Amino acid sequence: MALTVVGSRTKVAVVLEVNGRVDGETAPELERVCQQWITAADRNVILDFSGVQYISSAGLSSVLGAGKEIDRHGGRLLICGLAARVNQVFAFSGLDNLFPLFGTREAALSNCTENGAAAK
Amino acid sequence: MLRVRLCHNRHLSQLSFTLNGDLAELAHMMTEVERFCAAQGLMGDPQFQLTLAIDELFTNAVRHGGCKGVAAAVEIRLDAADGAVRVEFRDRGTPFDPLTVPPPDLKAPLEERAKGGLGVHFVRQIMQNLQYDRCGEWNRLTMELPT
Repeated sequence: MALTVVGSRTKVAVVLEVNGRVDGETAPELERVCQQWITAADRNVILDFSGVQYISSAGLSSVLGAGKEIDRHGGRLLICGLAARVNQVFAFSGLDNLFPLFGTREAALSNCTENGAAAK
Repeated sequence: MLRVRLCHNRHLSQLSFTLNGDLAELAHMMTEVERFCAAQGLMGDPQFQLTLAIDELFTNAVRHGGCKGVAAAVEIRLDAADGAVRVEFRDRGTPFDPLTVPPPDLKAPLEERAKGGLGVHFVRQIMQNLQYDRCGEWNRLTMELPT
């Protein structure tokens, strides 16, 4: 399958593990899973992209849409595990300045508390 | 997915293929670009960049350009020569010059960021010597990726 998304929930965050390519054909599936898992009560949502080797602007648009929705409810979207070329596409779009990026899921989780961001 | 036409020379320095106006054709496009790049020793970054640029143009043509549902809506030609890959992208959509699209505001805050408008920006970031013309019922965009 071109794209699969596996959701899970920890004490501090919803984690969506994305695998495959995120483009105009598959982005609707990412949007569907985001809507299925994310509630207005969630303070932290982590998109784990370590299984993604390709993303287009259509995929970024879905990420941006999810990020806006989470922000409206006072939550945060965190992104982790970007491969180098996927990271370059984020940089082309400026999305790397809108959402905090982490190398690993563990690093992203350690930045979360039940109320939102970890205390500095 | 229906492959309408595929032709190439013996050394695959040129490759032409046709896509129907259906986003499910993205997988077909990626396979053809991969095959071309493998034959040219252009795996890695050049393959990724070619794939992304063609993806953006194709997705725009299907979503916004009137190509959705049109058989053989897009024709793509790849030609490797003189340290570059020359790309010709033709679509049967409504007349549209992507080079007239203003650049997106990449510094806008989250609540003000538009969800669209990035595709053409990506193409302009990746490719060089872009030229557009309208040829009969076709939009034609030519461009080069230095290798």
